[in-house]
Amino acid sequence: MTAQEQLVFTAPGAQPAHLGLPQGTPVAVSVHGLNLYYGEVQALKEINIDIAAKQVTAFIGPSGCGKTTLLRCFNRMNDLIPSCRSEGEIILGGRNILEKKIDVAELRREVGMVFQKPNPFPKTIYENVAYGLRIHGIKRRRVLDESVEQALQGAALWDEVKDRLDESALGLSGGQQQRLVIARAIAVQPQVILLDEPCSSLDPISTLKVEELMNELKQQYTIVIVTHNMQQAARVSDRTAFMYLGEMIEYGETDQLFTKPGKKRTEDYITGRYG
Amino acid sequence: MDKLNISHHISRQFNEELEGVRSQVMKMGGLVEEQLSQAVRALVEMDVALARQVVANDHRVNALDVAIDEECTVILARRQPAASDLRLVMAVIKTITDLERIGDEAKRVARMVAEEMNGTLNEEVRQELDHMGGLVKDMLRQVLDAFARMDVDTAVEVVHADSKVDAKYASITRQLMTYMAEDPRSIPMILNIMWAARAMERMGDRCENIAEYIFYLVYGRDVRHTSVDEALAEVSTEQAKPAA
Repeated sequence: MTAQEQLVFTAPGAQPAHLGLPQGTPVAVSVHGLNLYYGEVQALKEINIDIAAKQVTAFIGPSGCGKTTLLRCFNRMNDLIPSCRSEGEIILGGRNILEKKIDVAELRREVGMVFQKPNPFPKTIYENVAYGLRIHGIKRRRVLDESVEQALQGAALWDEVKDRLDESALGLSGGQQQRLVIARAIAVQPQVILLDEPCSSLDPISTLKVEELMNELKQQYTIVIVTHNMQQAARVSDRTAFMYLGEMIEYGETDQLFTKPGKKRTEDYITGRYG
Repeated sequence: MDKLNISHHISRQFNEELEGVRSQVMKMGGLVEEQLSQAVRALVEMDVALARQVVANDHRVNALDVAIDEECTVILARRQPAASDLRLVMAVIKTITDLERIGDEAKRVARMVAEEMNGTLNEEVRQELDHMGGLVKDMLRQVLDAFARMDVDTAVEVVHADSKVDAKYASITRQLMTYMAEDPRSIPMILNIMWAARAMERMGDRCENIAEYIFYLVYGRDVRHTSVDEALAEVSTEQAKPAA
């Protein structure tokens, strides 16, 4: 599909239209009328967007625009902040994950998260990946072995660690630790993987390896990544959403957004002009 | 009118680099305009000295082509430009190629005058060539103006003007063919005149190309192999929607 997508323009003050996907694209996450507050401060304003399944979607925008806040809604991480309250719906796997009755632990298996600073457990490489499986009741050694290997393969780390699975994860390099964390997430067979500036603390080569990995992971998982690095968003994502001051300004095919954005604000941000 | 807001980058250096490249293109355009103008005059007046000057000056056009190309490569490497900045650099790279080719055609005409042509032109032919040269000069001047101001409307006019040049070329060719039929001894000279007219027709095509790059630069649409009028209509419809 190469046709230019219709960009939705709205009058100021009006309800923003739902930022959907081209017809026929499977939807992994659908956000409707999401408003989020930290105490009195509104951090997300009327977010309406569909995230495409098995594609990489990037959230970009200046500091404080709400992109990480939005990302953290998808696995209810914002619950950990007492002053945080949200309205609206996020439909994932056929139900609204913002409802109180949702099993949040199960949600966080389904929607894995990778953070800026790699956070492997202070355990062996093997145990890092097996931990999630054990929690879910998998005990048999052979099943664990297979799942761990599969996950490490999927995270493009197996060849580097297969002979030292019993060593501490903390002995790995930053880039390897990040891939281990990804292996840990995919071991429990998620639907969606969220990445919050996953390469910010990595060197350029590790960064490229993680980016390459994302390209493979999207064959099986829906990927949503928050990044400050615009060239990374341009390289890695299929679709990009630009946010500003809590609002979703523009959302579209990445190639289109970086060659001919629809909104001046988007253009100003990605070309480095005064905002 | 700076439609694309080329200035105002947070990085002043980047601003200066883009401005630098733009003004270099205008300089190259001015030089090519002069070459074209002098080549046409040399042809119409059979002025061998002027023709030799045009041939000698062509290296200046080529030097600018190389320099601007290098500068664009550096910008791409250094800045990884996006959106309108990227389209500007792409448009510049393509435009300088067409400008350099126009320069080549001017040199070709001049070389013919200096080395090949013996005799004089009859008055009718002289006037036709002069007229055609005038049309092409206008196209080049207009398109450079449109580039400087990122003016799509003028660029579209240039696209339309090319059909006049093509028509003129067709009529000159018909005329010249009757002369060749009347007097076979005149054939060598007339063939040279036809090559000169052909060179001018190609210059018109190159100006049309540059006009298409301007459209791409402003609207992000490639109209090289489609109808520019249709594209303009589509763009006007999109822009008529209320914007946030």
